[in-house]
Amino acid sequence: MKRTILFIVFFAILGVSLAGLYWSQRRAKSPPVSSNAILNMAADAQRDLTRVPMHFTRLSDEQEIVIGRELSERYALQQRKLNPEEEALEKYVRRVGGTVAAHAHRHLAYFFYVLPDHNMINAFSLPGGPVYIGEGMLDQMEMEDELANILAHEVEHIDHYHCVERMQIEAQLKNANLELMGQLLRTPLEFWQAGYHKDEEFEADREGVRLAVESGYSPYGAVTLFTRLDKLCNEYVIHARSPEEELSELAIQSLTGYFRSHPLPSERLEQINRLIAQENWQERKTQKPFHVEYEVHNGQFVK
Amino acid sequence: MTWAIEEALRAPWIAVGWIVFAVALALTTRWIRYRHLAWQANVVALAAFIRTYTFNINLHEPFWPHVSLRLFTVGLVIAGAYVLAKIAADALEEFESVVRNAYTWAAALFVGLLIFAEAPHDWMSVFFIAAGIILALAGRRWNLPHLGFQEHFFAVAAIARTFDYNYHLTTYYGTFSVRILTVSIVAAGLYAISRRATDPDAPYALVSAYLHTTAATSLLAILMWYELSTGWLAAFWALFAFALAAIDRRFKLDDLRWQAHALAALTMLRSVTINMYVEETWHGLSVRLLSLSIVAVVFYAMSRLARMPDQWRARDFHHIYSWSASLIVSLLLWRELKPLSLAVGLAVFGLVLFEYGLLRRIAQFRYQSYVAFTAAFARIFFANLAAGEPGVFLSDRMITVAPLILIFFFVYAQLPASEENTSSDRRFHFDSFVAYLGTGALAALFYFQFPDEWVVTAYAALVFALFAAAWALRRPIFLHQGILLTLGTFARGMAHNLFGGSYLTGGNWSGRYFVVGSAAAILLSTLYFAFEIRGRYAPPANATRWKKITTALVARPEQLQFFVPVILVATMFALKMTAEWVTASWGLEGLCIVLLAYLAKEHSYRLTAYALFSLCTAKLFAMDFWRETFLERGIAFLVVGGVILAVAFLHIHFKDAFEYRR
Repeated sequence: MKRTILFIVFFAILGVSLAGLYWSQRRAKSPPVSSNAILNMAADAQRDLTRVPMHFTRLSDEQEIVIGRELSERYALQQRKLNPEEEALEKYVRRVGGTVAAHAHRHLAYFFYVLPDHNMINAFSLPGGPVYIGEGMLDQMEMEDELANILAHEVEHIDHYHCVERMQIEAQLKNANLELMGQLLRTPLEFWQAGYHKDEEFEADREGVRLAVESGYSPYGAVTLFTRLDKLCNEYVIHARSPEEELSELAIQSLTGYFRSHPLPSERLEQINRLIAQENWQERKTQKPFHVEYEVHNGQFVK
Repeated sequence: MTWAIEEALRAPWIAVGWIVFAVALALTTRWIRYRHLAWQANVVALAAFIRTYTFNINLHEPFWPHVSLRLFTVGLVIAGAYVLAKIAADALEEFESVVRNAYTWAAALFVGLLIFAEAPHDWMSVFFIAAGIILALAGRRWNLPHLGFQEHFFAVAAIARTFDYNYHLTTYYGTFSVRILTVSIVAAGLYAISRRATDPDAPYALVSAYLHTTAATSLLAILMWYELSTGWLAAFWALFAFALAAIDRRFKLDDLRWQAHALAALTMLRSVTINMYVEETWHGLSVRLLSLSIVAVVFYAMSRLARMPDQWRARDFHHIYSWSASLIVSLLLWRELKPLSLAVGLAVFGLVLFEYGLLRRIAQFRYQSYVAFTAAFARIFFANLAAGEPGVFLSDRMITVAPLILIFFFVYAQLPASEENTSSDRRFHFDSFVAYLGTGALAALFYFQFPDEWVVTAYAALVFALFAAAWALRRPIFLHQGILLTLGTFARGMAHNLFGGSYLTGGNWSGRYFVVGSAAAILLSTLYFAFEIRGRYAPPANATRWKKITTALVARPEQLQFFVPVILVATMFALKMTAEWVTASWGLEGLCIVLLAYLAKEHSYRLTAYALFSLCTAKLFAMDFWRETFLERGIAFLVVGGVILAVAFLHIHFKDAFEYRR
C-alpha cells in the first residue's frame, strides 16, 4: 500500500516537473541569466541592516546642502563648457525641474544641470539638491512631461534621503566637520551615477510621478519614457546562448552589478500603471511637447 | 664449386645456386658425419645471403606473369635459409642455438625486405603482420622462441607502416575503404597474436601481450579519429571501451580492462572539451545530444560492467563512471535546455538518479542526485527567481521553482531514520541537507514572489507550516527550520517593515500595522504546535552544559514563538503610534499577554506582561505626565489604568483556576 502511494506521488511529482519543464522550454522569450536575484537579496540585506543606524545618524538639511554644493562645484570643474544649444537645453531643464522641485517635501537647494554627453542615457542627483541629466537621456525624450517625470524622480531621491544616506554615516563619523571632509568630497562622479536599491528606485518612481502630477504634468510622461527605455533595455541585454556566454555574462555582471540593482523598466512601468489606476489619473493623458527655443549671437547664447 | 656455380648460372640465379649448394653440404654432413662440411655450408650460405642482399633484392625483371624474378629467387633463398636452420644447426650440436638463430634472423630479414619491395604499398602493413603471425605460430608449434622475437619486429614494422602510410589512405577496395580494411586487419592480427607471440612461461609474456593489445586498441582508436566526424568520435570511443570492458569481463583479460579505462578517460576528456561545443545535426537531431547520450549510457553501463581490483571496487572506484556520466548529462542539460528550464531539468535528473539509487541500493547514485539537487537549487538564484512578469502569480518563477520544492521534500520523505538502505545518507546528513534545500527554495520563492512588505507574513506562514510538520511528522528538522525562520521573520519584520519604510510618505497600513500584525498573529498561532512538541527534543539530563545551552530553543520552542511576535508588536507600537498612544497600546498588548498567559498557563508569559506594565507605568510618569494637552496625558493614564484594573480583577477572581508552568 505504502509502495503504491509512493509510486503515485513519484509519478505525480515527475509529471508536474516535466510539465513545468515543457512549459519553460516552450517560452518564446527566455529571461537573461544574471546574478540579479542574489544581488537584490544582498542589497536588501545591506539596506535593511543600515536603516536602523540611518535613523540615528541623520544630517541636518543645512549640512546636506553644503555637502551637495561642494560636490557640485568639484564636479563642475571636470565638465567641458556647454555650447549655446546645450546652454539653452540646460535653461529649459532648469525651468521644468524648478516647477517640479517646488512641490518636494523638503525645501532644499534644488538645481539642475545638463551633462554634455550624448552617450549618457542616465540622470542622477547629489545630496542637498543638485540634479544632473545626461544629454543622451534628453535625446530619448519627445515630451516635456517625460522630462518632468525623470527630474521629479531624481528630486525624490534627494527628498527621501536616498542620496545623503550613501554618505551619511561616514559624514557623521567625521564629526560632521564639513571643512575636513576632503576625502568624502573626492568621491568619483560614477559613485552617484550608479542606481539605488530597488525599493528606493520604486519609491522615487512612485513619489516622482506624484510630484510631476502635482506640478501639472501628465503621469503618462513616465509611462512613455519607461516604455522607450524598456525597448532599449531589451535591445542591450545579452541573452546568453551557451553556458560559456552565461558564465562570462555573470562574471561581468557580478563585477559591476552590485550597485546596479535597478528594477527592470517593465517592473517600474507596472508600478506606475498601478499608481495611475489607483489615483484615477487616467484622464491626464495630454502631454506637452519637448520644445527648446534659443537665440545665438556671435556664437554666444542670448536667450 | 662455389666459383663453378657462379660461372655456370645467370646472375639472378647465383644466390639460389649457392644456397642449394649450402643445403647439399649440410645434408652431406648429416650423412657422413663430417662437421667441416657444415662450416663450409655456413660460409656458402653467408655468400648467398650477401649476394641476395646486394643483387637479388634489387631485381625488377618479371619471372612469371604475376611473379617477379626477385620474389622467386629471394623466396628460394629464404626457404633455403629455413632448411639450413634445421639441418646445419643439427650438424653443429654445440653451436646449434647460435646457428639456428642466425639462419632464422637472416630469413626474417629477407622476408621483411621482400615484403617491403614486393607488397602493394596499401597492403604492406597487412603483409608484415601476416608474416609476424606465421612466425609466431611457427615458433609456438616448433618451440622456437626466437621466432617469437622476430614476430615482434614484424609487428613493430606493421604498426609503423600503418601510422606512416595507411592512416592517410583515401582509396577504396570495392566499396570498402582500404584504410579501414588494412588498419582493422593489422589490429585484428595484433589482438590475435597477442597471447601467442611469446612463450606463456617467458618472464615478459604479460608485457608482450599488453603491448600487442595496446597497440591494436590504439590503432583502432586512431582509425576512428580519422574515419568519424568530430561529433561522433566520443560516442564510438565509448562503445569501443565498452566492448573492451565486456570482452575483459568475459575472458578476464586484464590488459583490455586498462585499455577500456584509458579509452573511457579520453572519451570523457573529448566529451567535455569538444562534443559539448558540436553544433552539427544528424537527420535533424543534434549530434551533441545523440553522441553524449550514448557516452552517458555507456558510462552508466560501464560502472556496472568494468572490472577493477577488488579493493578498488570495494571503495566504489567503479562509480567514477557513473559520476562522469552524470556530469555529462548535467552539462548536456545546461547546453540543451533554455536557461529557465535548467533548474527543473537538473532536479528531475536528480530525482531519477535518487530513485534508481534507492531501488538498486546504490549509494553513489543517491550522492549524485544530491549534487544535482544542489546545482538546481543554486541555479534558481541565477535564472528563475528573477524571472516572470511582476504581479503575475503563476509566473515563470512559480512554475519552475515549485517542482523543485516538491522534489526536495519528496526525496527527504524517502529518507526515514529507520531505513537501513539509506543509513550512509543520514550519516553524511544528506537528509537534513535536502530538507534545507526544500525549505530554502520555498523561502526564496516567497521572497521574490510576494511584494516586499508582505514577505514577513509569508515567512510567518511558512513558520506555521514547519511547526505543524514538526508536530505531525515527528521530524525535528522542521522544528529547527521553523526556529531559524522565526528568527529570520523577526529580523525581516524589524529591519524592513518597521525601520525600513519611507521616511516621508504613507504605507503604514500595508507596510506596518496589518502586515506586521498578521505576521505576529500567525507566529503566535504556532504556539499550539510549540507546546505540543515542547520537551520532545530536549537534551538528556546528563547532557553537557554547552549542549543544553545550544539546544535550549529546540527544547522550549514556545518561548521563542512567544517573544518574537510580542517584541515585533511592541516595537511597531513604539515606532508607528503617535506619542500619546504608545503607552496605551503597550498596556493593551500587556492585557492580551496576560490572557494568553492564563490560557497557556505559562509563567514566563505572565512575567512578560508584568514587565510591560512596569514599563508603561514608568513611561506614564517619566514622559506622558508632562505632555502638553489633557487629551495626550489622559489617553495613556486612562487606558493603562483600566488595563491594570482588569488584570487585577482577573488575578483575584481566577487565581485558583490556573496553575502556571515554570
